[in-house]
Amino acid sequence: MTAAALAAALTDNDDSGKGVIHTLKRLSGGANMETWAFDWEVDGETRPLILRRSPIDAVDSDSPLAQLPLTSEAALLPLAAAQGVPVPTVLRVLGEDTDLGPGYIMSREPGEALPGRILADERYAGAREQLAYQCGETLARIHRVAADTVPAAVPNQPLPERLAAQQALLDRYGNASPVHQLALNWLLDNAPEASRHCLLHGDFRNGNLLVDENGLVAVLDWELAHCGDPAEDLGYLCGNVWRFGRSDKPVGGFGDYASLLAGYRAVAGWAPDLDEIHYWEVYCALGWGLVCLTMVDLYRSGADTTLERAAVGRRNSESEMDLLLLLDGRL
Amino acid sequence: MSQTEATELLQAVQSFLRQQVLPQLEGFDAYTTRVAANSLAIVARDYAGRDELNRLDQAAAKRWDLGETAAATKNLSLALKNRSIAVDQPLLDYLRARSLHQLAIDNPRYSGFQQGCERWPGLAP
Repeated sequence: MTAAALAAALTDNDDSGKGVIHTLKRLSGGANMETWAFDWEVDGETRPLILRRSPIDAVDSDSPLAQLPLTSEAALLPLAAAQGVPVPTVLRVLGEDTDLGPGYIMSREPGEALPGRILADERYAGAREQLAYQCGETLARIHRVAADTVPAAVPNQPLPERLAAQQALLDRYGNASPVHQLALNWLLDNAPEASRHCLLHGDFRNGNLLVDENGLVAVLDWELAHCGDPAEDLGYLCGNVWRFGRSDKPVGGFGDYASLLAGYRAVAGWAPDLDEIHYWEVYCALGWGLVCLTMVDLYRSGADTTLERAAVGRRNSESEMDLLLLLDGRL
Repeated sequence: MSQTEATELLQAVQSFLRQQVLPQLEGFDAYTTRVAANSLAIVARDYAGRDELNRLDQAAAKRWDLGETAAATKNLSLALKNRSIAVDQPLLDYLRARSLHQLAIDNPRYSGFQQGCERWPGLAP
């Protein structure tokens, strides 16, 4: 990835003259996903931008790490924006036929996404008060996007199929964890009859939310978007793994259930109950364990030999502990 | 004086990464270096805690007739999948003790570890 290729992608079909890339910096990611921050200076004006690209396709589509094609992810942002969800503005969609693609370039919004800072810095004390309510409102807006209006690549699987896929993964990874099997049995035995079906963000959690002193600024990282029961997004946000040490604050480590549900109800006119949210917290905890195991598998197969992949495998036991705590008294 | 112990080498490399390499890095490289140092800390704890974990599995293999100790968790998973084993208090206590011991190795700073230790103090390492 070079600044020259990036500049070329930005000037294609653009008569505004050749611009200059400044402070190009890779932010994060594994081998199959790159996120870059940079400034684009053109005609004396500088715009802070983000490039997301997936140069290699390392993960098959039935993997829990399977991500939307970035071109579909780019198509979701305007759909969410139309419902009043704060999201970055997409500037360029880079198809597979381009040097950098598939990927897209979007605005870089000012704000903080690091959970540690959002949960601890005095600067965000006011934001923390608001955030659970704002997350409820924002999720309700995302959920106004009807399942039949999203790009075809957005997964739309009934819950029984998703649970069967989780069993297939446990089998594929050698049935190594009795706790995972116990949890999957519970999920099968307690599966709710969802009365609603809509677009879900799929990864709506502390870490993917851009925050400033007043609270939520933008919802990032839509690559796990799919369709399903709206309670899933709320339960996921409350998963212990995404509370970053603040287990006493169930909503992302910053808020309580009542605020989240009040915000949701204010926009949607209804809200899931705590039992539904608990179900999806269990689902989320098992999902996190499967993500950890999938990362080890990627590492062992040679598909992605980065240290991060190997190391995340050891976080599997976090999911086991969360599952045992969540299921205590319910088995 | 004996030669350097494996545990001492692990400690020395961790210190090198944290104190000499990390301050010179930022962004993605700093993050990955922190992951590298943490990984060595896991190896050190694994070295110290593995025997106790094996003892738990050995006792479980005997109690529930799960075959070789190394295959105990797999055989238990399959029995749960087939619903051919009762999920009772002793079984849950084994799973809780096992997960607490594993988490003590992998990430004792995880909030769930503290919660688990408080909920089941008699099973914690």
